[in-house]
Amino acid sequence: MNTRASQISTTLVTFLLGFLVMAQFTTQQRMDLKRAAASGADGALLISDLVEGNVRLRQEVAELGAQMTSYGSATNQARLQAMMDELERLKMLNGAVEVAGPGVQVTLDGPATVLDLHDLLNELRNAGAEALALNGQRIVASSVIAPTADGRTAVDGVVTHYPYLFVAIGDPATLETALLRPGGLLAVFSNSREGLRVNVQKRDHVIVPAHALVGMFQYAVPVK
Amino acid sequence: MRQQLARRPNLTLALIAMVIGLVLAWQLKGPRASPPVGYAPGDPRDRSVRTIEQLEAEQAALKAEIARLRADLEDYQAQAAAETDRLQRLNAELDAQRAAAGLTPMRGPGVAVTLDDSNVWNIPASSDPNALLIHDYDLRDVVNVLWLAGAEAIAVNDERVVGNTSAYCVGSTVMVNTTRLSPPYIVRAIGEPASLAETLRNPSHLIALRQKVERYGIKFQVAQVPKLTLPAYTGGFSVRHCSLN
Repeated sequence: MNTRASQISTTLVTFLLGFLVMAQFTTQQRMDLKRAAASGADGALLISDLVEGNVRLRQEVAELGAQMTSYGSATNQARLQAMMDELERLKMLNGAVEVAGPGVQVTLDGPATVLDLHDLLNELRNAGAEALALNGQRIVASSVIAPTADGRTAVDGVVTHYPYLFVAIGDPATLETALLRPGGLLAVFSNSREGLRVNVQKRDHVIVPAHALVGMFQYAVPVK
Repeated sequence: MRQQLARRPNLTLALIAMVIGLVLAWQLKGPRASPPVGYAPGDPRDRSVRTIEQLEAEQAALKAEIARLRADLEDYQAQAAAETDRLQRLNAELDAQRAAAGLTPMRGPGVAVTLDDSNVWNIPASSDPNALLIHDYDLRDVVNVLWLAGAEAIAVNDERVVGNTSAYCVGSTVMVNTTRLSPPYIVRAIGEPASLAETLRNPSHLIALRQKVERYGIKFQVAQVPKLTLPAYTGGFSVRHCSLN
């Protein structure tokens, strides 16, 4: 018990001793600086070195600050966003992506010819369709409806048959009015084509799928 | 020995206390004893000490500022590099989509198809005068056969054929891209010239047009061209009702 007590007091005293030695050492450092400063020439040299060094540091700060502004991150961000919006718009136009929206469904039930189908596509484009599909296939600028060797009908090489369901995205009322106008193509179809039933329906939400291939150029080169 | 020390803790403590005393004495005495320390305020030597301390503090602050700026700059540079990368990829994608949309003038080999109204006047009175003219559907049929033949870009006169292009008659002229065109109509298409021309001449295509050529003198000529330049589409596109699904 006595031994434990003496150990504790020795430890405490040693701590105190260490603390005092450290305090002494720190004070001594300060003394050195003050002595150097006090001894005329050395002090002036130290001050001028520090001033010069700080000028260089300040120049570095200014240069780094200038570099930071040159990156102008905010403007880049806005530019990126504008480009991404434009890209999305173009992809929707080109049929590179599936799109949805209000529009109309036009059904042509009966043995329509390939020319009839092309005429109806022309009519839908003229009426303001923004995106078009025929029997589940996206119609783009270069889409072709053509007869196959055995007399069937193919949309961009994929065989299909009637009933032909055209889906068009656009203002439903505008599309419907344009399509059903007196003397229009659909009026001609329903009045003068035996066995060809025509139906137009406005829709709040239709889906037009993406096209398999968009913009493959082998012979055409962009003119810059 | 250990036991002896343990029995005499007072002696150990006394020794330690003496050392502490010495150190304390030195510590307290030191500053006062060494002559060039503890200047009175206003003493020029005291001012230079304070100047040094201020300069050193300033130096430490500047160094911290530089370290912070360098770290920020590094972040910016990494971010900017990623953005530049994205910008380049975006630009390439935009170029491809613009070209696909017909918003870029295109150059290449192909064909030029000339279609013109008949200049024959002595046709039978019983025939339909409409048969003497080139109609919207004639142009559409030629354009469709060209796409079928593998055309990559098509223009009618100076109107590029794009996704929303329609051709329709208004009186005796044809509207393409809501622009009034007048004959002769020249349909130019970029693609492999021989196969484009061959498909146009294939008797299973353009049957109605061929009949009008034979019966009424409608003009329909196909020429292979080694180098064509088609203009860009200059009209508008609407995707107001479309959204990504």
